[in-house]
Amino acid sequence: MAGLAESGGSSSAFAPARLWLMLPSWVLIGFFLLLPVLMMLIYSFLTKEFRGGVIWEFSLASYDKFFFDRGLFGDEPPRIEWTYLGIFWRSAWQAGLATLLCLLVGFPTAWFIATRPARSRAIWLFLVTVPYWVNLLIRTVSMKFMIRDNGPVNEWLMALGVLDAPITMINTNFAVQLGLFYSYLPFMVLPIYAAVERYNFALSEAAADLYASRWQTLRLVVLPVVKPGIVAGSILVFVPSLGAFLAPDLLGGAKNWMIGSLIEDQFKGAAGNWPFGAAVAMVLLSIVLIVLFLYARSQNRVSG
Amino acid sequence: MKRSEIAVEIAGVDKVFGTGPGQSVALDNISFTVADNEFFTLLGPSGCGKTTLLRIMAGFESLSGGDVLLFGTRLADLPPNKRPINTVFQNYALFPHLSVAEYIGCGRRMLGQGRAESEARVAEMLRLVQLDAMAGRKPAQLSGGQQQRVALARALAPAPKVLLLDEPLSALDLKLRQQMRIELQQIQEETGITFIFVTHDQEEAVAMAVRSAVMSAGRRQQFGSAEEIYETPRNRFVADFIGETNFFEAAVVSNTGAGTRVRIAGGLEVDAAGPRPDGAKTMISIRPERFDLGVEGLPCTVDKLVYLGTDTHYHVRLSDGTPVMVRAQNHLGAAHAFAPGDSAALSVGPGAARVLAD
Repeated sequence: MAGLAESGGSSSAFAPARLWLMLPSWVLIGFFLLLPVLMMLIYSFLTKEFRGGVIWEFSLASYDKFFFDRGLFGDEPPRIEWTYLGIFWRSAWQAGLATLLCLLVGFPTAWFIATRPARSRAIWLFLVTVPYWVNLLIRTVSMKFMIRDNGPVNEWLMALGVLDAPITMINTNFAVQLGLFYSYLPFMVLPIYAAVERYNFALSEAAADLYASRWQTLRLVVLPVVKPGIVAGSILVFVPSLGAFLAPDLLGGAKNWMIGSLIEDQFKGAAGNWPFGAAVAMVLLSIVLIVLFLYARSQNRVSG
Repeated sequence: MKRSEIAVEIAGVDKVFGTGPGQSVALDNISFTVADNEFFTLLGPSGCGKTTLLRIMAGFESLSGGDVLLFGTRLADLPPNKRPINTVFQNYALFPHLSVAEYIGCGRRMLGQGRAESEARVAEMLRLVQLDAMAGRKPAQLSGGQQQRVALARALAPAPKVLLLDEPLSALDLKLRQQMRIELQQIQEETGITFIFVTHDQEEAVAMAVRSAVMSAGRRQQFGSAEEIYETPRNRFVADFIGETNFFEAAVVSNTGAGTRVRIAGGLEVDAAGPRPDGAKTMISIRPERFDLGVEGLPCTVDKLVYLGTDTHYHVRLSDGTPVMVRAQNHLGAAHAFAPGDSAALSVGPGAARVLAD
């Protein structure tokens, strides 16, 4: 940084040349992040128009609809609306469970790849990413095909004699979980791989030298040292899982909605409710930001 | 010092890496013993297998053949975390997330010791390595020398029967290295723990050890006290690796009675100690400081001199062109006796020449 400042001929962080160099990133962030989020925020406070779209009139109706139930005609005293909170709750535990499963499978996978000889690591990483060359929608549809009542999984299990009759997997929480786990596993594997690849295996030897068993070595040395990779992977799995809509839509059906499906539905077709969809999206965004903020603060407290 | 008991016995250890045509022999039938309470060094150039041998003792590598015994007990079946041996790693292997005190206490806690007891031991170790003020620091906040001391303290804290040190001083600068050598010797004496110190630095090995094993290319070359290894090197490798020396092709003049008399380049005849040569020719070594550069003896020419403070190195050439290195101590007030280009004469005192086995 010091070198850059000197070569720029100015010590100010806002030297004109530097502002121009930052322009592309500001344009990207502005157009594709800040502006859309701002529009969502504004839309969530507008009045809904039938057939989709909005009327430019300030209204708290969307947030009210999310949190409170005022009866069919809106004239009863407000009670807590559990429908949407329930969808949020299902989304949270589905995303949490998907994160946990991805961690349980992803950590050993990443460890395995990182401990291969340098030449074969590239091949293993390639194999992890190959399924992601196919569109997520197609992969989710093919998963639906695999686990439906008369799909290959049921037929094979029956052929092997494990099952007498097909079990229903489609349109269950299990199917949604399977879809989330399958969709986001690489987002867990790759950051953990990056952390384990940098891990100094002499530390494991040092732990064994200090009489640590393999389990103690994992718990007291390996996990704390590769923790940044685990945290990054968990965020990368949890956050998109929370807002996922393909897996709950295609695999979970109408009974197993998650937030993503709820939001998607508000922007689809004539029955949509744009301000309400925007409000749900804002609530989701707030929850994610609060969780990340609390995590960052707890980390600062530990290291400080 | 009690010298009777053998702490570590290395008995015919072999180590082969890989299989088939790509295999490489790292250790070839290595044997030696280390006495209890001894400061022992394992000396050899890089790639000689000394670190592999250390890792076998610690349990990080398996044996291909032979045995390692600790006070008579076979170690081969014990995993590293069950061996009463601790290692000071070359790169220190500090845990980045643990403070100095937590790290030093780690071994004791793993052995199931209570917090209070282990804390007392940590305080004791911090005093021993003079890091009392650093107890709460993380490794990233320590200098190289301090990290080295932490690595030492954490290996000493569990009071192992044997401490293995894998080139622990190689990353330190010269002054710190010299200071740590003295401290390590003091700590060894204080704790009475057997130290096995691996180094490629012959000066370090000679300075620190009671006894050493010199290794090269996976084989044990010589085993004995520093003085024995320096004064009576068994072969050309040892003579060359430990200190500086001159090698001469020598013709055997007589090979009877008290010793071997040989004639070297320029017609100089000397009595050489060591093994009796089989044939009419042999190889001898004469250390540079065993020559006297004066006016009487074998005529030679001074090519170059290097002033080194305590002594001066003369590069001289015999009349037939053979180069010889001579080292002479500098005395207070005395100017260099010779300058480049001067004619001089070489003489050798009795017992200076050494016959080498191979």
